[in-house]
Amino acid sequence: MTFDYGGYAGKTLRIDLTKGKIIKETQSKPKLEKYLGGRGVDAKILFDELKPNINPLHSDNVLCISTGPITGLLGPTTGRINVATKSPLTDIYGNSNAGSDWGPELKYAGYDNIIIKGRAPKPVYLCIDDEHVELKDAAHLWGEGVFETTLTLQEEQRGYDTKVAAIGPAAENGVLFCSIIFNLWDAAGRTGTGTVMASKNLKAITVSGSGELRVADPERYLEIVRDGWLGVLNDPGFLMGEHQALGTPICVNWGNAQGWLPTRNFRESTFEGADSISGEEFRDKYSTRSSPIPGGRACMSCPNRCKRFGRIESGKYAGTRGSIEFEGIAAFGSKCGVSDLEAVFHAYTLSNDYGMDCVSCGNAIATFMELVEEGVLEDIDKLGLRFGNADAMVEMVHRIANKQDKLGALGALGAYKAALKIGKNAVDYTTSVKGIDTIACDPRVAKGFGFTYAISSRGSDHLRTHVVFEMIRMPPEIGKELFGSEGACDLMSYDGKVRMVLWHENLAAITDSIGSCRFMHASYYAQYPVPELLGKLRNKKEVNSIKYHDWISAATGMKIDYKKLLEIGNRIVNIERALNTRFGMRRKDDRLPKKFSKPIPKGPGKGQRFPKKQLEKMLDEYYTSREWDLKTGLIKKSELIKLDMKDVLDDLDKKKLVR
Amino acid sequence: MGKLIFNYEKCTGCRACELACSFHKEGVFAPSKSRIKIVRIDEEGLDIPIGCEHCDNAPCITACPTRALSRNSETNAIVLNPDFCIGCKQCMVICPFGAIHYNENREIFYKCDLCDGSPECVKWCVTGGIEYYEGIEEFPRRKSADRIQHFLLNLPKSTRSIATGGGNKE
Amino acid sequence: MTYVTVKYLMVFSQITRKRKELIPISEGMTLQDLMDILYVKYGRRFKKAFGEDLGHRSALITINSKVKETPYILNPGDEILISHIVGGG
Ligand code: SF4
Ligand code: SF4
Ligand code: SF4
Repeated sequence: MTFDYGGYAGKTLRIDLTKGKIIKETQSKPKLEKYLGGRGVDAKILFDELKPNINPLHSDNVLCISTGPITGLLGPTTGRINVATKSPLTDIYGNSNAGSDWGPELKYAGYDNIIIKGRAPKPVYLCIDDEHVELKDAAHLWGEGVFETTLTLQEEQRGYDTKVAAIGPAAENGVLFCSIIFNLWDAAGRTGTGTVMASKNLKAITVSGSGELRVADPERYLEIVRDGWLGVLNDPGFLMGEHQALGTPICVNWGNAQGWLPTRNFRESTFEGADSISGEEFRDKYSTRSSPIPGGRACMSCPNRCKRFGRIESGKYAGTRGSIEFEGIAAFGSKCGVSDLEAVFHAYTLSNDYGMDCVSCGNAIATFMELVEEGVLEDIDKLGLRFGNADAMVEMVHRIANKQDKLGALGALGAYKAALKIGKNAVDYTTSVKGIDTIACDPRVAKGFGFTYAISSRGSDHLRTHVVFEMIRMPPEIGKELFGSEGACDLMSYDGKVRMVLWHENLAAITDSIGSCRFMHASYYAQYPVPELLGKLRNKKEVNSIKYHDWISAATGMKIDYKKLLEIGNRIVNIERALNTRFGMRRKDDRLPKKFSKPIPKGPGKGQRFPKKQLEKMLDEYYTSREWDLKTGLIKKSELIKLDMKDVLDDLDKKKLVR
Repeated sequence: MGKLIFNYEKCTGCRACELACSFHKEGVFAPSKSRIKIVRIDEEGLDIPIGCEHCDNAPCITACPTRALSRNSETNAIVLNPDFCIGCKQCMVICPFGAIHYNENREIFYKCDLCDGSPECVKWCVTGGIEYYEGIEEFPRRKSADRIQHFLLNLPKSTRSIATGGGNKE
Repeated sequence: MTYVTVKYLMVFSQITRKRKELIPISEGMTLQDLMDILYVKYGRRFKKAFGEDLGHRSALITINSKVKETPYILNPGDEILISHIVGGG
């Protein structure tokens, strides 16, 4: 083993694009002990190396791409990769996560992470082939879509064995919410990471690796992952086929039935056309597999397979193909009031090829549609922007990507910045928190989700916690045991939700940092101690579960127990908070948009709102538990000392950013 | 008489089998050292498992000048004995499935040996993308009989009664 | 004849190979009676999919978007939705 800790590849790639320099560094052990990898380490790198006040598109911005200690090993999901930078969309901490097997390949090539700085004088791509790392000319790729870029690079190199992360023309054009797209379909979608990559003149990163990864304790490792694997396979949610059946689009019909499917830019939360844009419809009409239940596609070493591949064979959008996912369907579908799945699928694939985040793109279009209907914005380009107009929606995707005409240029700013520019009361129609628009779940119905939107470190986002716990009829006893209240198991209750969010937030920080997928502990509940509690309730003798702490320990050789695991999660949440503090985020920014204090007009969630008072009350509880200052939201000194983050404390203290 | 059946329609491309194989055989996680390979064709959403088919008329055996390759009569696996191998690479060239691999570090050749009849990769495949059948002669017939039976059992009631002359059309 | 609409979501639509259908009902028929008809019509796999042993994740049957107390007597025009409980994506 070349590195003391197992699991890791042991090396960092530092790329200075301005000078064209590539440095291979050995990983710092103390940093890994404290932050594990992935999201944690990335946040720390940004804290240490990023000048807070720069323009995100300045060459000094830092782009981090990181795997974690279990990425690429065998275990219940080991394929996720983390990307972090200062976001051009929100001007605060930007961060996104993607699947596929790009991350594992990077580790087989011998590197845990890449830190990219500077700006190349002309378009280049980074080619990683085991120890050969090179910047190569990308003139022939500049301006090309993600598909063309990826396929060309695969042809030029090792075919399907070359894994490609690419950006599209929208990013080159400076659309603020562009993604980095891994292996064609997996996007580190949100917060504009792709735009930053484009600003560095970096078109793509290709990897192929033939190396090997070792774990600290192979025998124990196998035992532990087998336990975790069985934990997932025996989870009641997995047994009923939550994601295997239809992939994440399973949520369309279900969200509609439960009354949280955002419709017409969150005017309503049920959509009359839900069935025609549902996962069922996709399976029946476009799935390319004759046996869709066992089919679907998965990230590295994942038994869950949440992605669905399909193709449109005929008609106006013939030839459209790709992997589809719930958030994108909702963004272009129900949020825009469009019930034509072919148009939605097409818009989705288009934005993928342009390299844009489909959520932000769909949200921008939906917001514009509402603004036009409400008379706040003029349909200057005469597109017929109205809810339900599928053609206008598809046309807008093209225009935004190319910043074409007035509306295209506006849309390229994302819903929030566009609304600021439009002026009047346009901002009241957006759903943004900290500058980023809201994903596809109405927070007025799902209270835990709602609270997450307010506090999440990258702005409105559910994935920081993914508190599905409140949605799946968990036995109330478990809510009581874990989060002190049976209300935690009730979608529309506020009780116990703060504690529920805390637990999920800490664990999600862990999964993002080790390279695993949060669906294993928050969708399925295969992570200790939930299966144990469920087992006790049902008098089951043998229970299998994932134990992230044992898993990390056996892989790396560090000694981590459950308590320490949660502490690391807490530390990661705090380093992100510290970063955001520097970017000027305070308590006043942990809020929900005005839109959500108005009641839902109809459906199962009728009359539900998320009152400001309630949010403030929950914030008090949350800050108290996190030991953050109630008034300002700054972290308390004592907490940073307790979490062994003296260096962070010293730095913040100098700028009076701690209490 | 064992055989691995590769079923690309069911494979999700999770590559757990590759990792399980390399870990079982080499103690490391490294797809490059796995005996089975998943070809991930992202552009078509296809994932195809490829490995040794343990062919009846195995060209690798014919090609090997030193009889390093032979069939294990118990498991039906074609196994490679590194002690006899002279490294001529003929088997590598002739195998239509690219199932024979070369380890540069240790300078040895290796291939799937069906894990002595208890294949590790199959244990980690949750979808049936790879399956292991011990009685290959029975396999195809039994399976189609199963399918027909399943089909008949699941026919809607009304159809069945039409067949017997009854018919309960609404 | 009077009917109820039965809608199948998720894996149920896979097994029944349809997303919804009209089922004739007779006077006084309960939800349980209807389910018995469906169990016979769609067989073992269908019944198994309800996952009675799965506890909180077992299937959910709603009538006109509400969970009804059993025994429930069906009314003409009722919309019965058979689905599982899932969360976020
Ligand atoms: S559940 Fe989906 S996103 Fe998560 S690892 Fe599996 S395939 Fe990837
Ligand atoms: S384990 Fe099964 S599903 Fe996964 S890649 Fe291998 S054959 Fe395919
Ligand atoms: S049977 Fe054994 S040797 Fe062959 S591919 Fe599977 S795990 Fe590898």
